[in-house]
Amino acid sequence: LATQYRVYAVPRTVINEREVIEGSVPETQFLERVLKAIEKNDER
Amino acid sequence: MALIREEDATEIRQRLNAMAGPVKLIHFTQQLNIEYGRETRQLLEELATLSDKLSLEVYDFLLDNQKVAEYGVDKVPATAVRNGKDYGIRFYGIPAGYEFAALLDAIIEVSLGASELRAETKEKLSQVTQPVHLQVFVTPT
Repeated sequence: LATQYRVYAVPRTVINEREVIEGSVPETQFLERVLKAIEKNDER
Repeated sequence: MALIREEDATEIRQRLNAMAGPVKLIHFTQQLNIEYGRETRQLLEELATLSDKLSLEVYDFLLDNQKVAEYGVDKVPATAVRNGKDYGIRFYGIPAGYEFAALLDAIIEVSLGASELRAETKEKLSQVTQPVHLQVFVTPT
């Protein structure tokens, strides 16, 4: 599983199988990344 | 031999005092070909005795197909943390070390039916209309 998602360091967060957040980030940044991932989803 | 030491049990009982409503741990496991399967089950069994608001249900990943489908579990050991509502919270693998603290946090937040996110964050998330899948890769150390 770690290989499939190319996890070399933790924490690594994968959003909807595509977007990645490396490391621990502040809540506002985390939120932004999640919302961005959703936007990209909509474009597909 | 117990996995949770008596002094830790005392600490955990105290933390779980913060629980409001009941929480269910729905655990999926199998007999063979599983890493830390027995240990995970034992850990959860011991944990479930530390609060009367906490209960545990155990299912076999290979036999209980209906439950496996209901919880969307695709690997074991898997543990869902829920109350009357399933928030989609799943722990895969053994929740030991730092992840044990994360499990306790999840239990308490589910029990309270509230997260510790900022009001602005909740406001923005409330506008999300589609399911979002978050996978957090961690280590117990």
